[in-house]
This record gives sequence, structure tokens and C-alpha cells, in this order.
Amino acid sequence: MIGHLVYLFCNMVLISLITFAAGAPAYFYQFGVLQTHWIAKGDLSSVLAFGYATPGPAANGAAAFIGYRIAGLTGFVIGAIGIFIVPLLLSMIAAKYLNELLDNVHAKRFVKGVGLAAPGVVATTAISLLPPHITSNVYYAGIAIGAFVAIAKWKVNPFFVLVVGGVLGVL
Amino acid sequence: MQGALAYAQIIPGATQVQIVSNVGYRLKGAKGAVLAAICYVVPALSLFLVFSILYVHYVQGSQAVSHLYGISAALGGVILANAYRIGKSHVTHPLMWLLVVAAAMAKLWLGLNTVLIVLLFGVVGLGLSYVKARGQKS
Repeated sequence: MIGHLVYLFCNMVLISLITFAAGAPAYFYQFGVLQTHWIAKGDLSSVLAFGYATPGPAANGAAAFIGYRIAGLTGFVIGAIGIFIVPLLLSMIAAKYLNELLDNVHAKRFVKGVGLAAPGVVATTAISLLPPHITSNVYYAGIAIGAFVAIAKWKVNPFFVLVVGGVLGVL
Repeated sequence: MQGALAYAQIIPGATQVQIVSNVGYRLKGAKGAVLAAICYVVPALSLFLVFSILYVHYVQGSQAVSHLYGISAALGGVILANAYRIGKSHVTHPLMWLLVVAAAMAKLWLGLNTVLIVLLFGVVGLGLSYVKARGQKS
């Protein structure tokens, strides 16, 4: 159990270190579903939906959820600390020592490279989390497309999109 | 606040936590940073704890999960929209979308580890930056 918690903490720190602005769902999917099988695809889908529908750091709560899934409250706390300790420490370091980083062209190019990969891998995660047989189920495909258009084009709050999607799903 | 936002764009981790921690640090040093981060994160984590308890003990494995397909479909659209938003903020030339697609293909077809793909792209970006800088020097 301690081994699991250490592994969880280290991987949450790693995920935090490579998440520039966004992309966390893809890493949680890789780690929690594909790599360790600690959670199922549907579980991740549910916790991400909850995260996007509630205020606060949306996807990062999945780290705490994965921790709870494997070790109850202890795992929850370890997962949460793992995912949030890096931004806390880096923001303090950045404020004090890294003023020149903003003008560093190499750092910007690294982030640019990461920024180009992130949407690609996040998109594949989104596809993986879709309901099964969605390509042959016009109804659910329509919900997914509608959700995408509602947010990308009309900037609708994800909470309302998910609620409407949930209601349409049980009709 | 603008300084905190600027840092958040270039350092990794949860953006919102970085911003509030940075503001807390500027006001009251390390204690301010920690307090700000805790005050921001704890309410959301409390909700997640309630969700985790209810989901793991009452929902998981039950028939209720099959009724969540509508939410899963909507979530897929939400995350795709998020991916599109990230792409739009980083793509400065239409051809760059090909790189986004390349990352997606590397994941879908080659089955490469997500972290590896992202780090590879970052290192390539860094490499191109050094090559360009050397070219300008000579």
C-alpha cells in the first residue's frame, strides 16, 4: 500500500510538471486507466465531468479521486498534495528568482512545443472517454458534437452543457 | 496580477493554483502563498471528497453508470473543445495544426506514452530554438 501511495505521489508530481496550462485529462487517462488500471474509463469520465461542472481546479481533482480509489482518505490526500505541490512551489520560486524566464526564448519554445502536443493528446483522450459505439449511435454522437459547438463557438458554461448532456442521456 | 498570469503561462502545473499562490506570495511571502493555495484548493477538494465517497461506495459498478452515457458524450465534447482552445492559443500558423494532428496520431496509432509525446515535442521545440539561435549568431 505504501508503495502504491509513493507511486501515486511521484506520478502526480510528474503530471503536474508537464501540464502547461492544460492537458491534465490526457495524463490521468494514461496513468490511471491505461498504465495502472486503478480506475476504469467510466470512472475517469465521471470524475472529470464532476470537475468541469464544479468550481475550482477542474481536472486536477481526478488525482485525489484516484488516490481515494486505491487507499481511501489517505490516498485522497496524497494524490491532492502530489498534484498541487508543484504549482505552489514553482509559483514561489518564479516570483523570487525567475523573472528572466519570461524573456527566455528557449523556455518559450519548449512550452510552445508542449503546447502543440497537448491538444493532440487531449483530443485522443476525449475520444477514448466517449461512450462505446458512438460512431454508430447518432444520438450520443449528436450530444458530443453539440457539446463541442456549444463551448467552442458559443462559450457556454461546461456545467450547463454537462447537465443537458446528462438529461438527454437518460431520456 | 498580470505578473502572476504571465508566470502561469510558462511554468507547469495547475494555472489557477499558480496564480493564487503567486499573489499570496507577493502579499505575505511563503506563508501567504501556502495559505492562498489552501484556501483556493480546499473547498473544491471537499466537493471532490464527497463525490469520491458517494461514487466509490454507491455508484461505481451499479446500473446507474449506464445512464451516464449522455454525460460521457457531453464530456467528450467539452474536452475536445478544451483541446481546440489550447491549440488555438499555441498555433500561430495554419500548418502548425499538422503538428497537433501528429501528436494525436502518435498516441492513437503508435500508442506512445502521453508523457513521452509531450516531452518529445517540448524537447524538439527547445532544439529548434537552439539551432535557430546558433544560426543567428553565425
